[in-house]
Formats: sequence, C-alpha cells, structure tokens
Amino acid sequence: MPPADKAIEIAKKNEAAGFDAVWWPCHLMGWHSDSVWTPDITPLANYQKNPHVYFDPLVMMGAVGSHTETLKVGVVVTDLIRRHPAVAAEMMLTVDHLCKGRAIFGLGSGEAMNVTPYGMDFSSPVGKLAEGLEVLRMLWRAEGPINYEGKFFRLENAVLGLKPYNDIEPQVWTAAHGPKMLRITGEQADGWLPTKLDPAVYRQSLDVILEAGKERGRDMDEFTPGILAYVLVAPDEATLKRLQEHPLIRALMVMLPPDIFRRLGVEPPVEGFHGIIPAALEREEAMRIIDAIPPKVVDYYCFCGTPEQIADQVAEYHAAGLRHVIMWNITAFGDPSLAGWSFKALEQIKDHLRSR
Amino acid sequence: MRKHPGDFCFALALPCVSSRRASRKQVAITLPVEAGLTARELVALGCRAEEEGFDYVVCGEVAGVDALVLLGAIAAKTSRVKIATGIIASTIRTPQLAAMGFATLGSLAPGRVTAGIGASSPIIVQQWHGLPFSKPLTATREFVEVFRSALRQEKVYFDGECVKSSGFLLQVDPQAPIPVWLGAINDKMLHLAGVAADGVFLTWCPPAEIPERMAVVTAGAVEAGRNPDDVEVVCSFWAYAGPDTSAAMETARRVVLQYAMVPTHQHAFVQSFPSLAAAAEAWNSNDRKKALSLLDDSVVQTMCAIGTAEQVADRVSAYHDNGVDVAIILPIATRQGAGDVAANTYFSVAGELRRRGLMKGSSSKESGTQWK
Repeated sequence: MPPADKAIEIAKKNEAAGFDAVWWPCHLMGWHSDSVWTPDITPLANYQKNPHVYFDPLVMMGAVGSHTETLKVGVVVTDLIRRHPAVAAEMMLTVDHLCKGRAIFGLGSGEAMNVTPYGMDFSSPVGKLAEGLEVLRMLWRAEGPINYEGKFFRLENAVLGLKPYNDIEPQVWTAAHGPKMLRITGEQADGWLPTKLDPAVYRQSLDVILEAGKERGRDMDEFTPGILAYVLVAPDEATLKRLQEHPLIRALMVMLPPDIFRRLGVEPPVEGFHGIIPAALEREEAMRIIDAIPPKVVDYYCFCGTPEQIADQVAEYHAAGLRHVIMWNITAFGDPSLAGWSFKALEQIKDHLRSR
Repeated sequence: MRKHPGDFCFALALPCVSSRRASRKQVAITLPVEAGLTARELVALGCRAEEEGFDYVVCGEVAGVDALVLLGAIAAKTSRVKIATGIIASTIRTPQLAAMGFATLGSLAPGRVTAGIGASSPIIVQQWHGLPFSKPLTATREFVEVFRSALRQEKVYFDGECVKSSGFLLQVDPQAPIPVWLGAINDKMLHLAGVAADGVFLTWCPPAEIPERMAVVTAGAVEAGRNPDDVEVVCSFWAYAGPDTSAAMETARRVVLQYAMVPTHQHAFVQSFPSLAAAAEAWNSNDRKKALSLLDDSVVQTMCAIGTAEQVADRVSAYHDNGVDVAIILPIATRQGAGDVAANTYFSVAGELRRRGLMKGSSSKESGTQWK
C-alpha cells in the first residue's frame, strides 16, 4: 500500500519493537468485493478506491530487507502458478541476497481469484506446487544445464547460475491444511504456515509433517511450525462483539472450508472459496455471503479478544508445537479508528508471551 | 530459522489497508456544558451520541462542569465512542495532575481517550484563578512535554520556566497512548501544535480558512522533523439544526461577538468579520447594542452553521473536504436547560450523515448488516 517507503519505516519500527519478522500477503486481487467496498459499509472506502491495493511482496521484501539488520522478511504466501518455478527461483535468490539470508518464502497452491481472472490455468494446483518445488530446488542446486520432464513443467538445458546467499538455500514454508499438502510440507519445506486450526488438529497435522520429513530422511529439528493468525483485538467485550459483526470481517471468513462451517452448525455460504472471484461479485451476492456468516465463525477462525486473551490462545498453540506466529491484524477492517491502538496491542501480545 | 530450537518468534503481517489515513474524517459532538444541564443529562447525551455513531464525545470547560469528571462518567457507560477534552486549560492545572486525570480515564476506557488542552485566556487564568498568564506559549510547550513524560510513567525531573517537577511518578497505567490535541488560534500556538501535538484543535475557523492555518501547523511539523500528516486536524464549530433558526441566529450573534472580543481569540475573526475593529471599539466603550449591530448575519453564518440538518451536514463535509479529520459539532443552545435543542441538532445531523454514508450508527436502518 503506497507510499512504498513507509513500509521501510514501519518495518524498522517493528524491528526496534522486538518483532522477529514482517510478512506481506501476495495478491493480485483482494478478498473483499468491490461491491461492498462502499462508504456505507466502511470509511476505508473514502480513502482507498478499491480493496485490491497491493505491492509485489518480493520486491518489498528486498527493499525492506536491505534497510534492516535482524528482521526476517517473508511472503505469506505466493504460488508457483503465477510465478513460474524458474522465475521464482531467481527472484527468491535475488531477494535473499538483498536481505543477506533473512528471507522466508511462503508458498501455497494458489487461489483461483489470483489466477483465473488473469487467464492463467488453475487446474491441479497442489500437483503444480509439489512439482514446482522440485524444480525450484533443482535450479538452486544446478551446477550446469538441467533437464526435467514433469507433468506440468519441462526444462531442457535450463541453467541458473546465481547460487544462494552463503550457499544456504532460502527458507521455503508452505501453507498446508489437507493431507497431500501436509506431506509435501514434510518432504520439501522448511516451515509450515497454516491458518487457525484447533490446537489438537494443529498438533496432529504437525506430526504428519514431521513423519513425512523423517521418512524422507530429513532432519526435522530445524523445521519451523508457524501459523498465519488472523487477529481481531479489542479493548473490551462490547467492542469485540461489534468488530465480529462487521461485514468486512465476516466477509474474510469465506475462505474457511465448507466442512468447518458445517461443524460449527452453519450452512457454508459457498462450496469452497475457489469459486469466488471477489471483483466479480454483485452486491446482492456479496451481502448474501456476508449475512450467511455469523460472528461465531469469526470467533472460531480468528484470534479474538483483549491482548491478554489472545496471548492465552496463542500459548495453547505454542504448547502444540507452534514456533512462529504471524499476526495479521484485521481489526482495522472492522473499525479503522482502532488501527493505531490495535498495532500497539499486538506488541502487548508479543510481550505477554515473551514474559512467560 | 530460529536462533535456538526453543525460541518462539513473533511476526507481523503488514497492513493491507491504509488504516491511518482512513481513520481520519470523523465526526464528533461537544457537550453543551454551558446550557444549564445536569451532569446526568449530559451523560445521557454522550451515551446516545455513541449509539448514533459519533466518533468522539468532546467536553470543554469554563467555570461549570468539570470535563474530566463528566468524561469519566461517560467512559463508564459507553464502550466504543472516543472521549476527549476540548478544550481544557493547561494553565490552571499542573501537567502532573492532568496526567493523573487522563491516566484514570485511560484506565477506565483504554485507547479511547484524547487530551485536548489549550492555554486558555487571561480572564480565566489570571482573574478567576489568580495564576500567571505571562508566557502561555512556554507554559504550553513545557506542559505537553511533562504531561507526555508523566503518562509514559517515567519519573519526571523537569526544571522549566513554568513547569517544574522533581521525581513525580504516575501511579496509574494509562493503558494506551493518550494523544494530545492542542487548541490553537494564533500563529505561534499553531506552529507549536505542529511541533509538539498529535493534533491541532482549531476553532472559529470557517472551512475556507483551514488550509491557511494548517500551513502554519505544517511548517512547525516540518521544522521539528515530523511528517505533517501525523498531525491530526480537529475543528470545532457552532451549529444549530432545527425549526427556530432566528432564535439560533440571535444566540449565535452574541456568542460570536463575545468570543471575537476576547483578545487571545480576536485573530481568528479578522478575515470573516470586516467591521471587527469598529465592533471592538463599541464593545470597549460598553455599547453592546452597537457592537452587535455591526455583526452581519453573513458573518454569523460563516462562523456557525445554522439551518437544517442537511445544511449542518454540508458544513461537516466542507470541513472534511478542506482537510479536517475530526469535525466537531458544538450545539447552539437557544435557551438555558435546552438539552432537547442540542439533542435535536446532534441527532438530526447524525441521521443525515448516516444517510450520506459518512457515519454509521445503530439507529441506521439502511445497512441491514447488523447481526441479530
């Protein structure tokens, strides 16, 4: 979000405040529909013309990484559909050189809304990621021209002369929830970035990952279990309730899988979010989806409460193995006037947990 | 990626909305503390203002209601609305005492409290309180510095010209930062607001004159090495929405004249009040009638918004369009005890602002998105 140099300033501030990393999302299209990005729903609409304003995260990582000292910089998450594995391989090394080895690349299988409207092919996304990861690593390790005959990618006499910073391959973490993605994570990734799951499910999934890694003969001690935590922070119960009811907050919950909705006793608004292209949603349909998402879904999917309450919730995941929490502060979608306070509150959450 | 296997790392995803700029363009009310209402009535007005969707409830003080006490009562009965003083005199309380008061409010309503302070006037400070008013600028600068330091719960050692402290340590945690709005009319104070305050609180400033005053604030901010965008622009204006516009005009005429005759305020009226000098001469020779007659309706209309709810809402928008982040409606009370008059102004304007999508509140029927 412009101005670009503001990100450097913010990152430096967070580095000084004791955060370990800053992350950028990777979107061509945002989660909110243009049809509800209107002043009657959010004052944000008065200042930001549309809900799809993003910088390229890899470029931002390079800029911020070259202006900071210890802070890690990450993308949560990009994919190998929009970025061909060879292009991604070169970009990632470039960024990691700029950051002197402090970059973390989150990869996922992609989201239809960032792919199909742009004429790219969204078939077999998980297969493409698994294969793309192989290609990526192969190029990083290549000492000469390589050939590869995959289902999705073909390389013939392909080279990548640039080698990793200090000969250590950049960190690749994956956004994984389903069994196939968990296996890929164990076999090929250095870290894991799910969104919120039950702590018990988090532990079980992590065990699947660690097992898959060990079967491959990997040393999983260096593996980092992370989470992308949606954080809705409020000074008190009444404010929280109001935030959980806000249409823009509820709209974000559409990315939960249908079976989770059913488990919460709620009929899923759509059968899987990949069918949704936010920019194409008519107001009526967008409002129907929002109205079909009750606040309890928000309560389930986000870390909600006062800084103390959220610290308690995160601590449960720490006990389940979590070692890197990315707090995505969505409070301002519900009430922009709480933006400043809520970022301070994230610091409190961090400090609460550090002191335990 | 961990330094040690057991380390717990904390990270932030960077905001993908421009929340700071978007948190601007707000609407507030100032409670009518001089209209002879009881504190209970004022608290009720504050609570309703929250329901109706106002961003702030603001309270000033002269010699009646104590602003901090009243805001405390409102803070306890509300959960969302921000509360601010606007303006209380920094020259009649020490910054340490003020820090105690505001930290108490912060402890009651974390993150909802703003301290609007100003130097006040010689009448209030010297005549009524018997305190010095010789260096309002220095006193204010020192006040802000010590007030902030105290609120950070630092042990305060300060040896200024007007403010002194040796070892004061605030014993209540304000919970969240308490922004400082500085009431400013004259250039030197506007400049100081740019240097030292989180917001500048303008008053008696028609929308068209906002950019000019802000140029002075911006200069101060730039000199201090700050981003001028970090200084919030707050402006309070007198307003009346209702059927009895002629009574409102007459009340407003007296109010405008009274304020225009305060030496520290006169500067604000120079542009819009062409016969200001003549009126001041009449005023000073005790010819109030003549002074009033020199004040045209057009001047009153420029300074105050009097008319329908639509017209007052237009004025709110005019302030926003001219760079004001928080527009504050200060109601004209056409008679004493006129809580209903103030309420009608606030809430008819609130309805109109909601209709225009500029404000949200529970009385709003059109959104249809409230979860039941």
